[in-house]
Amino acid sequence: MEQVQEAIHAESQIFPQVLIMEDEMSVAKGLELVLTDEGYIVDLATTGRSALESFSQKAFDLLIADLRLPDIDGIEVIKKVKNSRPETEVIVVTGYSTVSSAVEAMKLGATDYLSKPFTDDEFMSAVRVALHEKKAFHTGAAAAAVAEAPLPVLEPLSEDLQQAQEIMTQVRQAFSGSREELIPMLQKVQNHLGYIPESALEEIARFTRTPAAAVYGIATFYEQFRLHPVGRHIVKVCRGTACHVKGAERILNEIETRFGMSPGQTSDDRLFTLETVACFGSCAIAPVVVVDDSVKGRMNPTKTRDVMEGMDHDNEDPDQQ
Amino acid sequence: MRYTAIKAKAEKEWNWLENLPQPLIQLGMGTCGRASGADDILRSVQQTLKDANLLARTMEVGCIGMCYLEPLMAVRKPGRPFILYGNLTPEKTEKILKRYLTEDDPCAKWSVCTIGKERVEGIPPFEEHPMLRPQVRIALRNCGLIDPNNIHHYIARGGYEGLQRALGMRPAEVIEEVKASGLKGRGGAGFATGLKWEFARNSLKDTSYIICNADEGDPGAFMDRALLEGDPHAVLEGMLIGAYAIGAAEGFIYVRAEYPLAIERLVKALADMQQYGLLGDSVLGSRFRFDIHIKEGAGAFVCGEETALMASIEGRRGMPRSRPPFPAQSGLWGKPTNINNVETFSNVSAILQNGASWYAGFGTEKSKGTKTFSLAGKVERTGLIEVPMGIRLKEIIYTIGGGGLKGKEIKGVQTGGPSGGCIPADRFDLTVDYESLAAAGSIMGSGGMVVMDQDTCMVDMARYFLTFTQAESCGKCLPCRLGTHQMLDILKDICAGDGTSADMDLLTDLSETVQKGSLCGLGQTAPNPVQTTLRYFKDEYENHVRDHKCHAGVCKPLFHYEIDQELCNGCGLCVRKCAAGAISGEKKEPHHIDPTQCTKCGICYQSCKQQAIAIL
Repeated sequence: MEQVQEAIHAESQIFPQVLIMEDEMSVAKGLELVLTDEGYIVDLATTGRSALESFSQKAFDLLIADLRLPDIDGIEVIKKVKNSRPETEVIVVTGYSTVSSAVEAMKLGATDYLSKPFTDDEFMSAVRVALHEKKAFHTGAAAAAVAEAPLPVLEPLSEDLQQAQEIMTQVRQAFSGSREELIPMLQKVQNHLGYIPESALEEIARFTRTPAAAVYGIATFYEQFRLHPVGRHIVKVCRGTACHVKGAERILNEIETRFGMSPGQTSDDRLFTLETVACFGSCAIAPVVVVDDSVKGRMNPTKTRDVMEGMDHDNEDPDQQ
Repeated sequence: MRYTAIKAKAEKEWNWLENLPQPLIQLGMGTCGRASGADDILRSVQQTLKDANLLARTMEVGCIGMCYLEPLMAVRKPGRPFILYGNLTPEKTEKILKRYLTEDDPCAKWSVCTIGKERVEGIPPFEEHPMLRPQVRIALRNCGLIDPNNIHHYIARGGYEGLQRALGMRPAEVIEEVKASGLKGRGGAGFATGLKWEFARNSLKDTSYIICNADEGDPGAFMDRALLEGDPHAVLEGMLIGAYAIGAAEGFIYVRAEYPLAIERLVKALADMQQYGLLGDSVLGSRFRFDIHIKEGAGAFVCGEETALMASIEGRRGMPRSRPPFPAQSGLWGKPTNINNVETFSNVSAILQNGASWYAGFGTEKSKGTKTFSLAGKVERTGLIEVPMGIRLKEIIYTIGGGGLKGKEIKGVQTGGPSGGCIPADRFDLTVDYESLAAAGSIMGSGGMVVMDQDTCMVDMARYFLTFTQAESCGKCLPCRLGTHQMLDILKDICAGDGTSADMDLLTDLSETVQKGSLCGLGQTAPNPVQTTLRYFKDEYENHVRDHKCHAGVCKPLFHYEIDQELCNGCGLCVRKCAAGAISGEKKEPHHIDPTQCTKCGICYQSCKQQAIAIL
């Protein structure tokens, strides 16, 4: 259930819906192009009424509002939208900027006020800021939910997110952004970070011009991908047929007893993450345990415990120095 | 570059190696070898040579197939055959090298066999070793004998001769040749390779693709890994021949991400091929244009199915779709696509090199050639083997495999992984070919063979395989998604002692539904392990359900350990081993197990030298 909630939550966050309310078709189309290029889903409304109509049918994350419209005043539309859907972010774009209209718009809760002409970059940075605020709104709600029912997963560290950005820069250089590169991109991020943070998932979605929900669907389909941080060492116990016959279950039991984690979990000290793998293809030397990238054959519960406790020790020293 | 020029270069290097004036030391550095400590052995070899001031060359080779003896090392002195040593430790390695290289003592007691024409007294030659005598190595012809990273070694041993020959033929002739060889797909389904190629060729559009399926997902199978690690060019050459035959200009190898070493070898092999003009706009100076890309899998078993595999290459969720259209008509990005397995391609290169009739000379009437198997589980000699089709199961298990581990009685063998079935020991007279295995309720599969002995519970095995298929079901077809789940629940109940006799009928019923109602091979074959265990080991199910007993000592709620008061000599070994502190007793007096403390971990049972611990 948690996963489902998370999925829905992630989807609405990664996949922003924008309504552009603008009567000049050329401007509207231009903005639409910029936004869809970045992976947003965009609807258009050329009148105030049709904009309100759209809002009555579904929720948008962001409203790009022109103030001069053929029917109703843009300010009126913003008022009504903010009234019925207060979580909607608003950016005002107008060719006839006056201080009073700007003040009024801001009072109604618009995050930015752009006067035409403006560059694509100015526009996009305003959009990002607006949606970032929205995200804070969401995460606040999510945090409250988490407090009620803590998830058994680790939260990303801030340095992870910084690293994720660096890796995404590399990804953008190494790949062309075509759809069939999606899995290799996810693999590259995970190879560096041990998991795929949400920000990287979003970035890949934008880069490949694939809805973030689809990227999420792919990342969760394949066993290899992890969406949460992992411990410093990854212990994988092979559950292949030969390993099963030769006692892989006993090894898992031993790890559970000694280190208090079952498959998929990370130890409290973030030192180990335990995983199982369908088969490593080293069946002749079963049972097999893989610690980080080193394959260890002919294991048993005691040997596994010794290896893990040895690693435990190895890592204490550098930390103390 | 012309083939003759490359060949001359390669032969020069190989001859130099053959006539090396110094000793040559080969080390098996496949994944199995490394996992067993081959890196330590390599270090020990280098250190010993340095310390003793000995001049010798070392060379990395792939898996020779004797995985039970890993880590392995072969040492050759000039004018002598290689002597293969197994079960090495760094200390043993040092002793062998010092004694053999300086004192000329071949250390026969640690040797396995000799490899080469000459003989060394007291050591059996390779061909006479019981594990190797019944084998015919075609797909694995170079594994363990050449350096997989050295394209010259492959070429010197006849590599790319088949491609050179194919390029001189018309594509249709190549397809005829493969058809005449009788080669069937070695990935599991056993569809005739030549026919498959013909379909792809006939639907020729502007573009078509060829894919090598190296997503070896069956638990218990590692032939493809060993082959890619030990002789990548044999596979790549087969792929080139296939591409030429069907008219593909682009190929993909879909490899499991769990096989990093195989990927490393492929990357190196492709770079070498590029350099020698075996890839690119004009392969070996001909008008044939071809390129190969490596695609890493991401851990989904179902991607071994061809339509799911193609979806995964395209960057989508790896879910199978219905056929037709077959990949030969509409495959990757809607273009005609041909998919073959790793082993199939390795056979193709051998067939084109030696001719169809040579290949068809091996095997049976309907199943031609050889098949590789990974022999694992409870046998003495585990490893990678290649046998002619039609060999009897008992020959594989008792002659090659050397019978039960520690002399224990063998109960059955699982062929074909989770899609296959358990064949009981009393049917080991069965010949190994596509038809007989299917008649017995199992399948050839990709070639996993896991041997089970008296300590294996067959109900637990069925539960194990269902756990796997249930987790790997992609969820598209309802009977597979929910059916496997229900079957697993029932099997879990039986293993926990909560089964009823009606459960067995329900299992049979569900098995049929899942088989008939699933789109791809995963669902269609998922019930096989349940059906075969129900067919051949019904008594075990009945023991679980009726008597609440698991005689194999696997299903924890259904047995307990007791110490036989007659047999126990009070050595105290079990007391020291028991982590739960459940065993007590006076020295040299029979001991006791406290059932309230015992966690049934089985360590005492395994370690008791008197076999005084009984499962009740």
